[in-house]
Amino acid sequence: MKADSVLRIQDLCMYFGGVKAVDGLSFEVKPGEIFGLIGPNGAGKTTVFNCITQFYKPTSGQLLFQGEAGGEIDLCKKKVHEVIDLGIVRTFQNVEVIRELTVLENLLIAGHRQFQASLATQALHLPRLKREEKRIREKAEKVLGFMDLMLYRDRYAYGLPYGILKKIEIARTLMAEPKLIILDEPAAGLNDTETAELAGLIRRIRQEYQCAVLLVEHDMGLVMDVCDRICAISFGKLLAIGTPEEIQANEDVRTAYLGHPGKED
Amino acid sequence: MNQKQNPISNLLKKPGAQILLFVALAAGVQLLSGGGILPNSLVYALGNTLIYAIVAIGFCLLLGYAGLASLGTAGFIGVGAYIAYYMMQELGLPFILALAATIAVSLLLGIIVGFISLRIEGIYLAIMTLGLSETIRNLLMALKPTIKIDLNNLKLFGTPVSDTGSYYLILGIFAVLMLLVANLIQSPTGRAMLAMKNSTSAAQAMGISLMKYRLLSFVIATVFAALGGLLYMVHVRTMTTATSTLLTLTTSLNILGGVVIGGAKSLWGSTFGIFIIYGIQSMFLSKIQFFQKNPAFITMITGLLIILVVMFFPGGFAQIVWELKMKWQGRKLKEKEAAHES
Repeated sequence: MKADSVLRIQDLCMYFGGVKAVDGLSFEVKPGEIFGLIGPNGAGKTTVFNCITQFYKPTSGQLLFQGEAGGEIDLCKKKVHEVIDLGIVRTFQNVEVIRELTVLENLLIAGHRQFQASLATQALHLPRLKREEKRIREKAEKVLGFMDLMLYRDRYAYGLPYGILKKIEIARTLMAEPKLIILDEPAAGLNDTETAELAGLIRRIRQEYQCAVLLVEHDMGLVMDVCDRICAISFGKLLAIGTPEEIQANEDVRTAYLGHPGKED
Repeated sequence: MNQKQNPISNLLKKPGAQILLFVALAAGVQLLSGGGILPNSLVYALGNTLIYAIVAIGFCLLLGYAGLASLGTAGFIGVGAYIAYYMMQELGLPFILALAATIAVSLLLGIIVGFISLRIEGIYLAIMTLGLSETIRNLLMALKPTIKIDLNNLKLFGTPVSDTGSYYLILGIFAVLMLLVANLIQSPTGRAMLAMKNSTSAAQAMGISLMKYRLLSFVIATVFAALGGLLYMVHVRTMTTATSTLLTLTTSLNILGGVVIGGAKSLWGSTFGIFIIYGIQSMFLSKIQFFQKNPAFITMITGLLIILVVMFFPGGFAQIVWELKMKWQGRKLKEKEAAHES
């Protein structure tokens, strides 16, 4: 077993009827690495994310995550809501912030698994719940401070600007002792300044939380800027893995994005 | 952020204090009627309304927090009513055993419906629960078209329950359930349900098990509805399926209406909504001759109210109160700023 990767994906296949969304894909994410997953629209990037986070159960293939004790954990054996316990947390392409809750409460949602108070303790508001609530609230405030969101602490997420909602989603991932943060198009809908800030933020998160980041992104500027390594896929199949320079120079990747030179269709 | 508010308004923010105040008021009404100042029928109607309020609190959690639509409330009420009848009238058992049986059976029923809700969502879930409710109603009707509990078969701790006794019993159960749900809402469970309502995928990614919280919300709503049925049989003591609307879709819709009018995310709002739908009708409107002659107009008023509220205040009365409060606070803030500048 290789111990030098946080996430190891082997021959991952995800078929929907006859559609091969992901077809025999393999790559690994190393500890502390910012790893980019790119590909044209419909290449299967989000499907890969949904497989890792168990929203989809893969047709075949292995998804192995580096556990606490050093052994590898088969992600396919986990339920979708148990994945966060391992430190795998994700954001969504179309921001899924809980609009009926305040910004702080949105972070508490991500800390949900850290509450141990039983239902009865909660129904009676026993001191144990209050202690836990206090501890997790303080943690959430620390994250809000780190993300520069303290100003919005008690605002309802409903009606907040898009850029802030995206930040709340990222803040949420930090609540769960992250080991692998999965960002699905974090720059989509952001302006140039915000995208530049985002690049800095992703680096700061890696520094501060000592975690790996896996991201899908169409903004090539951001991908080439922050990623240590990039995996390019097309129609569910691997095109190339390498450093940003290698990927930029790769013929197959260019063809996938721009089409065959000299071939008109 | 310096919130220097007086201790009374701070205390009133606590659900425990709110409930105590409510219980004191409701007990006051009973005492006044005992003293002959208020009519006895008012207390009776109030007790009746409180029964539906209990059902509404459970429904509020289901609809407003878990975001699940159910039209099966009436069926679950029926289950409680019939368990009450069979346990107390037929078997002569004390209230406390009927209570335990009602909770046990409705708990199971809630789990079953909760499991179904994992597969069927939205409008289809509403239709499915409606079908289930109708099935239960027909089953119960076939079992016994009229149920009636004799006064001396109503025993709480060995002593027969009087009208006053049943009123306080309802009030007590209402207070306890209200406190439990109010606490749940302000704890991880309440947040988890809201998360589930807003985005199932975000909820799951954050570690919230849809199964756990859907089952829980259906169990609570079902148990509360069945308790409503049980208390109905303690309070009203008789029900004829041929004439009563208790087990029909009307009841399910009235509960839904009350919760929506009052504010699906507010327990007190929902209670207030139920008062509008059931209380005003039985306490005041039914005393007016015009409405006695034309009972359809009462339903019309309810219908109009629902339309108006949904159109202009989708958050119900709770939203109106909240908006007024915000305005009031904004004005006070401006006054403060003005005083500061001068």
